[in-house]
Amino acid sequence: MLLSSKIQSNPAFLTRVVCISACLWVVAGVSANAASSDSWTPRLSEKIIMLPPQQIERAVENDYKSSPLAAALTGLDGQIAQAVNTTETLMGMKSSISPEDSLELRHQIISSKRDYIKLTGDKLNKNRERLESKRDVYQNLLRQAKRQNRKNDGQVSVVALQEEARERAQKAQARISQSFELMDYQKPTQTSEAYDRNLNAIEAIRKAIQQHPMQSQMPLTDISDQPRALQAMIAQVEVEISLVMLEEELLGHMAQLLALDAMALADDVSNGSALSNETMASNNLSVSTQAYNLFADQ
Amino acid sequence: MKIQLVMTLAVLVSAGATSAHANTIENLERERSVAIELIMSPDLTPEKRFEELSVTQRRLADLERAVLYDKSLGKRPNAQVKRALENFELTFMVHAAAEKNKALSAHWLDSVGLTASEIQTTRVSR
Repeated sequence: MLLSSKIQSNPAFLTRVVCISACLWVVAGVSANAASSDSWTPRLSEKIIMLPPQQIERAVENDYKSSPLAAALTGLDGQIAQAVNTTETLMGMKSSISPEDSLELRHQIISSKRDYIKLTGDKLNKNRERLESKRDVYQNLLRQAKRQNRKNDGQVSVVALQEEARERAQKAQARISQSFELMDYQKPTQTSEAYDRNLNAIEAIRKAIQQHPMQSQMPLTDISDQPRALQAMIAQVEVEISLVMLEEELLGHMAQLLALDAMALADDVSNGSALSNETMASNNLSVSTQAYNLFADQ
Repeated sequence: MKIQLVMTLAVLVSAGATSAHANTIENLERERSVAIELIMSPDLTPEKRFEELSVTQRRLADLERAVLYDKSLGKRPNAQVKRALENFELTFMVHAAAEKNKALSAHWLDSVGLTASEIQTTRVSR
């Protein structure tokens, strides 16, 4: 009741309270789905499913880095760092400022913190968007790998039979060549010579591949192993999303605390006193991150 | 980045490099029937049979290798392909004969169960 009467006499504080409420609205995620040009639409070939999991991750990450969303997030990081610096500077001035300027300083600090909350809220939304897009990519690849595996099941038996027949044939090959040589009135066919030449070349290249130093670092993946690797990657992204959700909750609490600070400031201005900042609730808050300490340390 | 692109391309090219020959099994079947016809033909002298079989045998050996290295077979598995690959003795006659160190005709007759003693014990009837 006291607050409402004070706000009536000081319309400027009403504006501030509205601003803080807007922060809460932002953090609550109402604007999470707001249309943004800073988005990431993954443009990856479906063939990346054939790459090893580490390479898939790298390809997805590279695709993200070239997106407007990555640029926007980098920009937000800079702005957040600037907001943190400003807030720290203002808070450092508290001890040396005269009592009459104290109210204005508190107002500046609240304003700076509001900027921080808004920017961090934006960053979390974008981060969540990034992770959800990444999860969608992995889920699409997982579906593709499972589909491919189902298709492969029928092919495996034929390939295995062919492989078995090839091994038997290779053992008999020397004897066939020998018997053809005995038939000296028949020259080897061109195809036969080409086959021998190409098979020898293939064997040499296979050996070179096996001995290549990069082979151990980039083994080609058997697609049947992909679903398990992709599921692990999806699980990792889910963990990161839950972390973002936790950060959103933390930011919500910070915004709530800031709103209380703004209300306390409004009360103090109405009472003509700047002393109540010693009793502000946020003094007792303890959070670990350096930036969040700005809110705990009033 | 460039290295990764090259590596990706290499993988994609190797994946796409499948055989274009779709009828290797049919071609082998055709040549095999020619060989069997030569083995069974009553009109050929032993020398002529040997000579013609030698030519057919070389072609068969090439066609058998074509089937053995035809990667497209695994991509379109069907009953005919599976049956052909399961029956090494009769599908890959030249290789199987060499494996057993036998002449092609002897190997084929053995594989279909036509031995000298069995032929001798048969009787003509209507």
